[in-house]
Amino acid sequence: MKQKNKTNHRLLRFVGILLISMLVGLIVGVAVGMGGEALVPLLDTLAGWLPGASIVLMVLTGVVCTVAALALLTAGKRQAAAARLDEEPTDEDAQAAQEDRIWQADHRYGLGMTVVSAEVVLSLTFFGLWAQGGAGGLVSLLVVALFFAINFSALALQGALVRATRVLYPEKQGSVLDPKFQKEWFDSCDEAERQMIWQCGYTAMRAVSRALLVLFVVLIILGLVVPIGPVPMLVLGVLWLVQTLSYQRAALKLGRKPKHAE
Amino acid sequence: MPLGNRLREQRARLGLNQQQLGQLVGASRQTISLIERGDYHPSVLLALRIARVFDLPLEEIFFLEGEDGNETKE
Repeated sequence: MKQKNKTNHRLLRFVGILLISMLVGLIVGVAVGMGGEALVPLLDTLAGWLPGASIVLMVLTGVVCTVAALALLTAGKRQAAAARLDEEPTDEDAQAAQEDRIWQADHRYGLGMTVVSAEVVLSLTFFGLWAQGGAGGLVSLLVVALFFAINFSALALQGALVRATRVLYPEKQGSVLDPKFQKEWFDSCDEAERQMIWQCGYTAMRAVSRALLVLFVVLIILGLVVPIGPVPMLVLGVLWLVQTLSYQRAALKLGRKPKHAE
Repeated sequence: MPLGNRLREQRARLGLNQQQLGQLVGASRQTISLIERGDYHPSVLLALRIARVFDLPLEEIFFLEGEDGNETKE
């Protein structure tokens, strides 16, 4: 009886989501149909404004993220110093206090790494948007120099964060300057740390799947109104295919054929 | 059912800190800490390595906790 109620509940929820999606689609379709023509000049204005704004946004991102990451690195180092890693706690309370400080330091380094990673992606995005404007001459050289400066500083910060993390966990291996860094770091992780990495990877995969679906819908609707060309949809398709196939390939590889005893 | 353990008291018996135990069993200090807090359940391989270090049967170090928080032995 309980199982039947659960099934009915799930069915009702599914039908509800379907109806709401149809309603949203109807509203969006009507809105696009009515206001679609107004989108073209709006997008043209945006296309004219974006390259210039991207330079400003790229520099702002660089400055804000660098300051934030430095602050987190400094705060983490303060916690690590307070943890007195060279000393062995004599009692349970002292050990708990040391563990808490190590966690605080590690957490701050993790946040710093998140900020720097976002900085790299955003700087690449803004640089790409600027490049759409097709500027030349001295301005181009300056923008390219700024782009490299932001990314070199991000790389230096990543290196500092990794070195600080290795002070907390001396068994960790790898340098950010090494192309094999990710593999070396992963190889130096034990089973618990690898499980965490796998869980994070799965979470990221699910988030990207949802984002790709939303982008797909947005591009379909936009493409009905504005000539966006085939490139956005092709890029989306390639990314989605790579994600799907690499996941499925890994799953097939892990599902080994059973070996029967002779 | 959550997995309980006597890692901390066994470490104290042998005078090992988390870092030292981790080095002996091939795990990080952080993982030993997670196991002791019950935030991570070790694999059978890691649990057996830990038992070997303490020279005790596995059931003397790890046990299933009952819903009322009491240790249960099957």
